[in-house]
Parts: sequence; structure tokens; C-alpha cells
Amino acid sequence: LTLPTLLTTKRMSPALAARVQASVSGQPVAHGARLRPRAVSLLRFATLCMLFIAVGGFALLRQRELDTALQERTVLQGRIRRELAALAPGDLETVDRTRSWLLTSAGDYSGELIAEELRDREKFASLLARPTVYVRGDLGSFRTNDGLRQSAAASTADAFVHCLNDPPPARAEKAVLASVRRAYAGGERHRQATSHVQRLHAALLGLPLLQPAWQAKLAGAETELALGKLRRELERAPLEAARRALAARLLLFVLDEPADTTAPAELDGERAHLVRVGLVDLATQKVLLRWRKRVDPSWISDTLRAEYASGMDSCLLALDLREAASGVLAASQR
Amino acid sequence: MPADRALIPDLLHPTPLRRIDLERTRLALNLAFAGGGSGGLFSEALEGAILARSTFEPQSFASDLFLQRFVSECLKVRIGRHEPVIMAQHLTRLLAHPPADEAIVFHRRAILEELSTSAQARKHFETLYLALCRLRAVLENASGARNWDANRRQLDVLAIFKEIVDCMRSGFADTRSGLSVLAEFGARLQASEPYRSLADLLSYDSRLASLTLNVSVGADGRISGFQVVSLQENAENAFVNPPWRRFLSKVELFLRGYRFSQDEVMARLLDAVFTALVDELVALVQLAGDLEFYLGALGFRDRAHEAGLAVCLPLLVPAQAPRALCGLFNPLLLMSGVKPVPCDLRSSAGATTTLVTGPNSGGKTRLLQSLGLAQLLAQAGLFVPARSAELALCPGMVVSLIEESRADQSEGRLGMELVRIRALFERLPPGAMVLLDELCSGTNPSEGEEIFELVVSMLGRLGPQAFITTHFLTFAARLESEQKIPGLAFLQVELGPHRLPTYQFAAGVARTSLAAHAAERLGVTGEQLLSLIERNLQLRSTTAVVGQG
Repeated sequence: LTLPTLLTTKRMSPALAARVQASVSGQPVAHGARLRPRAVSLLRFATLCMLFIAVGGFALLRQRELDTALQERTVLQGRIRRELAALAPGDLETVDRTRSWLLTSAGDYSGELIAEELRDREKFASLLARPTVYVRGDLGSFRTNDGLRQSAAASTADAFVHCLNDPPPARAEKAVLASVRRAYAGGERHRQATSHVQRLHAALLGLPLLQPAWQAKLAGAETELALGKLRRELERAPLEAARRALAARLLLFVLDEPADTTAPAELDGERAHLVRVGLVDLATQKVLLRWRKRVDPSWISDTLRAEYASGMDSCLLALDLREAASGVLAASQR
Repeated sequence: MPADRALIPDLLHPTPLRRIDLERTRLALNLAFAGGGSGGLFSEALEGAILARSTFEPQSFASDLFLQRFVSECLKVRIGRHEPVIMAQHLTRLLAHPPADEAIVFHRRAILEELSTSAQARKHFETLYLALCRLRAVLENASGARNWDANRRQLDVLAIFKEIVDCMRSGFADTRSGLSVLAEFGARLQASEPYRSLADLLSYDSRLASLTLNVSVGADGRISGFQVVSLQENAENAFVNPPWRRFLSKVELFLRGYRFSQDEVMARLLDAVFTALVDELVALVQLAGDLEFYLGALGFRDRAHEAGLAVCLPLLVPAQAPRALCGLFNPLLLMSGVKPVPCDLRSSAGATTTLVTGPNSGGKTRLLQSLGLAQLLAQAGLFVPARSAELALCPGMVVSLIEESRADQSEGRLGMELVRIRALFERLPPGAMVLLDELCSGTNPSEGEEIFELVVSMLGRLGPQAFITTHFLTFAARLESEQKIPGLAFLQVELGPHRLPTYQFAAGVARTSLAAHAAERLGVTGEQLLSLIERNLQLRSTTAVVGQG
């Protein structure tokens, strides 16, 4: 089999073309070559074919990866877009505002303040029913970002939140215990009572993913590896909860002032200490509540205190707050 | 084998012959073209060349005439400042085997005559020879230097080949003699496809593309910039491919097992062009030898003229006609730096045996050499060392001028002399030329004269043209007076004032060999020998006294 050569041209005479063909077809090549020319030729041809296949395969795989990446990126970007679309303008600033309020509130106590709209029981209830972001922690933790993050991570819709929205019918130990147990159990009633309350922790986790920087990172990711990492970040983030937290209208926080460490603590860490409670309208940046109260688990019977001291103190704190807002507590204290 | 005139540019024969071994020379040329350094390619091819039929036997005369020395010293080629080294072995063979066919002799004489009368023809002839020398040098790698660019060397070979073909076509178009075969050869090649391919390849190498530039020159005379105006590829050329195809050609060669380089592409093209031209190159190898044959003869003529001597193309007469040589000189003497004295010789009939007598160192042996070389050159179709000459072609030649003693010889001096005579008659064809120096000088005169007479009388039966020198003066005088042997002639060395030889020859027999003159010249007189003896005795007695003291 003689393959035509590219060295010949149309302008060559047939005789010359034939000689050029003969020259490239049957001459030995390299001096000192150990293989026959045809073997060398086949070897080189096979090597080149393999090279082409390898390069082609690589290009194909790369293209497929890029296509997959593009699809995945589109999916992820769509998800982000949907989340962002559900947010109102300014919702992305909720975390910054919250941080600012908490930092302020962790400073010197500025005195009690209860807004007028909380004085009325019905208004109080309807106000508290608005979307709320809640956080509780030691006073000092809110002075740093790490402390804030740790406190936010530890904060849940606890007995305080439960009792504030679904107060026990009486201050008796038994009634309070029942509410605390409901809060701890997290049943349907608890969910209904606290469904509008979101954890600040969710906002802290979800906010970075809704920021332009993360979207730019997503747009720049081309490999499956990088996109997978981003996808996992997105899957791990409680985006829906974050969206709800960011959309909250109220900030409810409880700051535990340092306790007297010389006194003995309960098994769950509860001991007598001052607690600051605040409620801020995030939309208007108005403080609705600034209230301070000492809690002391000594009123709880010995059998319950070991297990429920913290929850029962919190529940009782919520009852006190409600009463303080409506003036009952103030009158009784007076 | 005979071939078409346009196929083989044979200058030595009217019917062109491919005389060198085609297959062997082609193989040698292929190897030389591929790798270079095939030293002796031309000379080896020519040394093995077949020659036209000859009746001459070189062993009968070549060494006695110093033929090899004559070729290397007298037939030198000189062109301007160039003195190329000739292939002497080939020329010696040509001279030692003169053609039996007279037509060949006349063919050569016609070429030589045209070269010697037409300055234009000679100039082109010399140009052609110099180009062939360059071709030979580049093929044989005469410099011995390693060539790092094989393609460039091969392109040089092809460029010189083209130059040779062009020179043959244009330089000899108007010639009348056998030189016209060169023009025919050149014309045939120029019309052929391999030549066009060669021209295209050389053009491709020297001008792939033309680039037109505008060069800007600053106030200080420096080039400050340039701009490419146009770039034009030589698209008409058969070898020009577009750039993408040139690249793919390299890839193709790589896949075929060659190297990936532009040089490899050029190597393939060179190979394709050379393959079709190699047989023509074989013809040029043969031609180089032919050119040297004529240029050697012209060089001989030039050197003789420089020495004030004349050479000629002899008039060729029938065998029975008288011969004449006017201004005959010995070319070996000329090349030794001695200016020879020309002499005139005439013979009354074709078949004559001439006894030459005269004093020692009178030029008898030199005369025999001159006669032999003149006859040999005339037989080869070349100039003879004489102002004018009338010579007859003969079928052979036996020359015996030197008889050296050898350690392994089985006979004494007389025995060797008789062996010499026996060998003479064994080799001698009728009508041949015989040149014998001092026949029967190895025995006593009376017995030697008997053998001498026998030889002379027997020689007459073969009708040779013989010249025999002898110092048997009395015997020669007797033969002259008796006139018993027909066709016997006598020449003697002419003596001038003070009885010194004039190196001319006159009819008759010399009366003396002037041995006393020679002895005196060489210091062998009684007085001179006596003074040497006395000196030796005195030296011995002085040595004895010093020893006793």
C-alpha cells in the first residue's frame, strides 16, 4: 500500500512526482536505527494516534465537565436568585443591624423602657406575633463577633420564647413546669407558638451565601470539584430559615448578666443573676422594650430545680415580662 | 558498446562508446552524492574503462619510453592559474593502447586541430573541464573536510551539473569536429524532464519567495526602519507548496520514519531529482577523462612553444612512403629542464632498418626515445614533438633501450641479450616499429657481430621501421660497403668543431665512438687515475705516522 505524499504538487511532471513518491516510500531513514523504517513509521503513527485520542478524550471530558458545571452552576444560581427574590429590600442588612443593637445593649444598662404599644395586652400579643429573630447569651459574648456567633448557635426557641408567646395559665410551679416541658419537647403546640420566631444563627449561616462575593465565587467555579464544594455549602446552609430570619421585623434578645459565682449553681448551670430583655423594631430601628430582671431558681422545689431550673426561670421571666408590660407586675411590686 | 551520439558525449571515438562500468560507477556516484568522500571515484572508473581495439602491447615499449613519466610531466593541464591534477593512469593507458582503427585517429586529430585553431572552442573546453574538476572535487570531497550540511553539498553538485550541461549546450553549438557531440548531449539534456526538474529545484532553493521592502535611512546614515511592501511566492515553481502543506509534509515524513525537519523534505526532493540524472553523471565521469586527453596534448604544445620548440599533427602517409621528421626533439629532455636540440630525419622508404652509430653521449638513445614517443603520439592522434612530420601508422612497437641487471636473472649478460632478441621476434608483428639500443653489446665483438647480422637480416623479412644503435663501427662499415642486406640504412652522429657531437644525424657510419673523449670528460685518463692512486697512498702513510705517535 502506497500512501500519496504531500511533497508532490500539481505542477510536477508525472515522472518527477513518481520519483518523489518513490523517494519518500522506500528509503531507510535514521542512521543507526535499530528498527526497520516501516516499523518506525508504524510506531510513530500509532504513537500519534494515541496522542490524538488522549488529547481528544481529554478535551471531550473537559467539555463534558464544563457542561455539567454550567448546568450545576445554573441550578445553584437559580436557587440563590429565588432566595434573594423572596427577600425585601434591606433584609440583607438585618444581621448588621442586629449585631449593632446587641453590641449597644451589652453595654451599660440604659434603664427600663416599655413602649406604649406593649402596654395593651392585645397589641402586645399582635406585636409579638410578628416575624421575630431571637438570640440569647451571656452579656459579654455579644461584644465580639465570635461570641455573638457562639451565642447565636446556642440559642433556640427556648422556654422563654415559648412562655412569652404561650404563657402558662398561672405562676404556680406546676403550670410553669408544664410549659417548660412543652418547650423542651418541641411539640406541635410549641411549634405553633414559636413558628414566627427565627434563630439568629440561621441568618448568620445563610447570609454569606446570599452575598455578591459568594455569587462571584460561584460564577468563577468551573470544575466539578469547586462546584461540588459550593453546592455542599449551599446544601448545608439553612437557607429557608435564614431567609425567614432575615425577613424578621423584630429583634428579641435576652442577655444574661454575670452571676455571682461564689453561690452554688444548679445542675443545668442556672443560678441567680440579672437578665436583660430587649425588643427592637428592626424596620423602624425603634426600641420597643428594654427591661431588666433578676432571676433566682430558689423558688423552685428541690425535686424540679435540678432538672428544670433554667427553663422554669426563663418561663417565669417571660411571665414577668408580660405582666410588666401590662403593668400588673409593676403594681404588685409597688 | 556503441550508443547514440547525444546519449554519451564520447570525444575519443567517432562512434560513441560507453567505456566505463555503468553499474559500478552509478553505485559509486550514488554513494558519493549521499555521503561524500568517495575519493578516487573518477580515476577508478576511468582506470577500469575499456579502450578501443589496439594492436600495441604496452609491455613492449611503455617502460623503455618512460611513458608514465612522459604523461605526468609533459601532458600537464594548465588553465590560467589552475593546474588540476590529471588522472595520469588513464592517460597512460590511452597512449599505450593507440587505436587500431584509423578513423578514430582522424577523429581525434580533427578535434585537436579545432581546439588548437579556435580560441573560442578551447576557452569553452577549458571552462567545461574546470567545472568537471569542481564536480569531481565536491563528489570526492577532495578537501577531506567534514560537511555539516549534506543538502547544501548535494545542491552544489546539482548546480555544477547544470552549469556543465549549459556550458556544453552553448559553448559547442558552432563546432565542426567531434566536439559537436557535446552540444548534442547538452541539447538533449536541456530538453529533458530531469533537467527541468533540476532547474526548478535549484530555483526553489535560491528563490522560494520575493520580499519587497521599503528601507528608511536616518540622517546619520543608519537604517531606522523598514516596511514590507509585498511578499510573493514563486508559485510557478513545481516544488513550491503552500505553507500549511509544507508543514504537513514534515509531519508526513515524520510518520513515514524520517526526521521532522525542512532539511528532510529537501533531501527527499534532492533524491528524486538526482535519481533521474545519475546516468548522465556517469557520462560526465567518462567525459572528464576525454577532456584531459586533449587538454594534456594542448598543454604539451604550450610548453614546447614556451621553450621555442614546435609540435605538429603529423601528416599520415602510407606504410610504403618515406618518413620525415623535421625539428624532432626529445620531450623528456624538455621536461627535465634541458633545452633539447631538434634534429631532422628522413628515410627513403617505408620499411627501413637504420643503424645508428656515433660517439657515446652523442644522443643516439635520446633519438630512439624521441622516435618512439613521436610514433606513439601520432598513433594516438596527438601532437608529435617535431616541427613537421610525415609518419605512417604501424601495427605495433617494440622498444628495448634499457637492459638492467637483475638479482634474479638466470642467464649471464650474453644469455640475457639472446633472451632479449628472442622476445623481440616473439612480439614483433609485420610492419611494426623497432627501437633497439646497442644490440649485442654484452659479448665479444666478433661473435656479437654474427648475431647482430643475423638479427638485422631477419628483421628485414618483417618489413619493420627499425632503428638500432651500435658501437660495432667496423662491422657497420662493412655492412654499408657490402650492401648485402636490402633496406638497410645508416645514420651517424654529426661531430662539430673539436670533435664534439652536434646532436644532428647524417647518413653514414661513424669512424669512432670517441671513448677517449668520454673518458677524459668523466676523469678516466691515465694521468687522472695515477694522481688518485698517489693521493690514496699518501693518505695511508699519514694515518700510520699519527697512529705510532
